[in-house]
Amino acid sequence: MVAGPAVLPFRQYVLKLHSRCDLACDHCYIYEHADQSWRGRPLALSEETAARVVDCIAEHCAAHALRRITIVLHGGEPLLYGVERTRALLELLQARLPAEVHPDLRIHTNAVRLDTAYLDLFLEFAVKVGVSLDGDRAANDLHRRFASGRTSHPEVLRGLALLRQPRYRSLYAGILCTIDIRNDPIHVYEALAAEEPPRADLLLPHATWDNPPLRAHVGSGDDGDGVPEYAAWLEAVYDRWRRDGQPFPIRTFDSIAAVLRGLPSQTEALGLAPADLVVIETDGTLEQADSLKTSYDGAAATGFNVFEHSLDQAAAHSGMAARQGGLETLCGTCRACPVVEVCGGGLYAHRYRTGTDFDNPSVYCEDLKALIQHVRDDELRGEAAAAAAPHSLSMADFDVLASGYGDAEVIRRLSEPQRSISRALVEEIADAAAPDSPFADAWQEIIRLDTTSPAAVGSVFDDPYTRVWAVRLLARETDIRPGRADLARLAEIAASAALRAGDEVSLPLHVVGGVVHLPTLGALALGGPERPASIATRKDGTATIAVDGREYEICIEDSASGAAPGWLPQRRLDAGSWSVSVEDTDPYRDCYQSPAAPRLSTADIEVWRSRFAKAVSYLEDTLPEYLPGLRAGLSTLMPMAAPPGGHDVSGTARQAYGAVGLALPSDGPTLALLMIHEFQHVKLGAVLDTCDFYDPADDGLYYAPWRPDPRPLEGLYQGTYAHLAVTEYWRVRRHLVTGPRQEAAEAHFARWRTHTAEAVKVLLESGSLTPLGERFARAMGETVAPWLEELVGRSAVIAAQRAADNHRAAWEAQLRQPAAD
Amino acid sequence: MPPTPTEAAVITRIPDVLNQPLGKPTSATAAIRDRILRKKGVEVPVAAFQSFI
Repeated sequence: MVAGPAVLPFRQYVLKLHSRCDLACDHCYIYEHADQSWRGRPLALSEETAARVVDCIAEHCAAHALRRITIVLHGGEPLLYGVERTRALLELLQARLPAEVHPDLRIHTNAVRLDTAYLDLFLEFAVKVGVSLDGDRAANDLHRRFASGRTSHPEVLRGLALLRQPRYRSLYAGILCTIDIRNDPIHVYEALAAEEPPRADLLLPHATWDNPPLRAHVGSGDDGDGVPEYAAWLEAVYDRWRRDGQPFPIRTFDSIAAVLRGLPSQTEALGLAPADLVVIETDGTLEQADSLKTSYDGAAATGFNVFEHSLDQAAAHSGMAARQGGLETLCGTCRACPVVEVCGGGLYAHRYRTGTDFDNPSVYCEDLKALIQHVRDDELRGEAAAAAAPHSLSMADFDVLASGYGDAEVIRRLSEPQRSISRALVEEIADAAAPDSPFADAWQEIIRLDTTSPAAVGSVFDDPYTRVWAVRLLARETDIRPGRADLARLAEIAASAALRAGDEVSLPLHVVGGVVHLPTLGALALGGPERPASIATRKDGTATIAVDGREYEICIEDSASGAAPGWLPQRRLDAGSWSVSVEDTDPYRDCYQSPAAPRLSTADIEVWRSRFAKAVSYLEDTLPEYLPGLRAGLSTLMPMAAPPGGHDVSGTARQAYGAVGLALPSDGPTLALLMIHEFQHVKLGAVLDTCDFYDPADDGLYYAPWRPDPRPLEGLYQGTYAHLAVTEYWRVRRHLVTGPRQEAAEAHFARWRTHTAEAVKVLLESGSLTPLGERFARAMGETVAPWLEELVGRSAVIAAQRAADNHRAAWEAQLRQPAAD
Repeated sequence: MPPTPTEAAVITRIPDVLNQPLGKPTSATAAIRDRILRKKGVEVPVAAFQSFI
């Protein structure tokens, strides 16, 4: 198991600007619940404290290479701080945070004092504004009043109306509504919807086992129909919201649906994500989440402050750690519960009971279970009714793939979504092509053949480079309609499928790149510019291609006897039960970083056959666990041009599932290494097509131990996953060779195991991983961890560690250099 | 209560269109196109402090 970071850095900073509020809401956790620490706080954040706070955040960001953080201006009521002091604070943040840090600035307010002076300031500094509103006038008046008892509702609505103005609309973050089951749920929902929030959340009122929530039916806790009351209230809103077509996101509902799909929760109140938040009070005191104040006096305290302690010290506080351990830190009841991954034990504060502290289920446990079941049932009904249910990937398959492997059955199941992708992309292209396209008839033939000979159509759709063509065409950012050369592949697919099916079709084709290409079958080499052609296929697997007034006979037999001289049939390499295509004619094959080789000669292909057989034999003898997956998923080798200098080159294209490009190396074992390395990329690309591992909004670049340049998260995942196989190759290889080759193999093993483990750590510390992404990274770490313990020659270990240290030092030195203007 | 999908399987972001007839593009094929062209990805919001939005 690879350990996570020593401390989980803070990415959310709740900064208290003012410790008092101009409302006197009787459900407020700050003033009305167990904790009374607000009484001893300074009214407002001083200039000196603000400067120290900002420096602390800047130091923490630099120490942990944080790029994206959230800073929430909070209170009390933060607008009591005043426009000028708020401006000074925002300027301070702008001036002192490292340039690479992009803070997501937010403020949460009761909106009573929200005016254009504030909003103009927020516009200037891109501060998004969240507002508290508990529903309609009656619902809001139940708790949210001034100390005099006067309603705050009209003033809140005035503030929200300002936020909806076109000038300020971009600042509108949403509405937080604390529910009260005495209010009518539909009236509350309609009142929120009327404010057109970009997002909203419905918060359970803070309560603990010592101070349980208000329930009308004391004892049973349900609404008389067996549904717990808070669940019943929320379900009523959920059902109406779904019927309305979800006009705005509701965080609680979206989080449940997301976690059910393996995506992250959007709120600390649900899910098992670790807490990464610190509250900074007006006196610089560092505290845990505010909601803990509902538990007992001092519950949120850490004993640390920005003047005497670092944020790292606060991050290591036992209270913080208790909310970062996921499932393992929950009570036994929760750990045994089938919905624990979704509720995550509920909000930490809601678990409190004197005597057992937080080692309990949430006081809303039954409500959460019922609500989760309700949402899940609705989601399952929706999927059943949908035009196409999504492919699923079992967690068992996911874990096997994440560990670096995958047998034939796992890879076949991984390939199923890939087949849907190719089919859907071709369909989208055909749909977008004008009905008067010269290839409209070809599409109709594909539709017909798909009903009469689906296997033939499927095998052509599975060609790796059909997806390359489809993505290239669909991704064009131009209003110019695709031309004949762009759309010709539709006819090529139809003709190939007809030949495979033994069917008769007559279709127009087009010469592209000097060839008429028939996917999975071969190409007729003609040379010259793009120009029209045509094909007539026959039931015996032969066809006539006509171009420039001449006719060329082709056939799908490998031997191609009787075919025209220019017909270049696709050839195969066979080794036992494994057979791969050699793709050296497809105009779309040249999609790698290294250029494609021209058509291999007959002599060349024999050398490839011999070396492929040796590579397979080597894998059978030394790394047999890789072969079943390779046989099931690696369908195509694409010869690359040999680079000058003779070094090995290989590559994988993100859109070419099942294909690996490479220049033929000098021996079988090296070919085996290149194939297992690249097939890791093929597998991971397929997994990433189906699920999300990281936040795509994270455009940061991360340290990659094997490269001089930093890498985006997908690149780091890809490199790490590929190097799992590379490490294992050298791990085994070092026992099979002797002398200098053995020393070299040992050095490779020592180097790659270190690099791979370090890269896993970088991924886990990125802060941008989804739960699935984290699970995958941890599984990779678990594969490499025992290899780190294996004995390796001392010189190899020292050389590997020195190389790793030097690489890291160079990287850190580069980071310290001031950015060039 | 049945196990949560996350315990048993990942519900992927790729609709299964293998048995859908060709010639009738649906929201499922459009969803695949958008997914593969990376027009739609999942944002990974932090498990946010619930007292702000």
